[in-house]
Amino acid sequence: MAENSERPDSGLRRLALIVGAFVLWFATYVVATRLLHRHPESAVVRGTLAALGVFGFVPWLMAIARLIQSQDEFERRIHLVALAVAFGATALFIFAADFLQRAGFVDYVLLRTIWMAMIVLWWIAIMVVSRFYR
Amino acid sequence: MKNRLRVLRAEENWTQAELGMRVGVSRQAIHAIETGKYDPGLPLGMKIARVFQRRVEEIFELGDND
Repeated sequence: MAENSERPDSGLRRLALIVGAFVLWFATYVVATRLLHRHPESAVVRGTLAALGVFGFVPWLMAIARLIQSQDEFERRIHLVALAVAFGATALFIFAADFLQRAGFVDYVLLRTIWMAMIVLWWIAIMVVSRFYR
Repeated sequence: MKNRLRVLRAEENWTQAELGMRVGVSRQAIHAIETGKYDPGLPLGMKIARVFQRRVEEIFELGDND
């Protein structure tokens, strides 16, 4: 359980950490995407760019995990329920996309559509669950 | 679970935020416990009991559906 005896600037530091990690993620995503779009011939270059895109996301995930960990048990419960809701909603989204594709309504579902939907659904779930508990 | 948190807090003349600060949680957490939307875990339940200088079962009791 988080104690309120923590330093008053710790919240600001955590926010700075999240913003910094997000900027890093965004920067690595843009760089990796743009350079991969040029279809470099070297497998090493492509592999490096792919790794850059993936590992640029990790600090943001860790910053979010640290934020959740630093909160009190009630806030952690909200995040736990929100994750469960987001998991179910994402599964439903993927099933729907799969069947719409089989039915011929959708030509092709990009993987990036799925992870972006996952993040959006997670965000919505946090809002909905927070509202329910408050 | 049912609880007497709101009554005990009123007796002490504490706000939700004040009680939250004493036990290390947010005002929203105290509100959720008081309205029965959230049942606290054992450590938080014991901290709440400690600040009111009562036993846990004097504050929390099982509801009909528990």
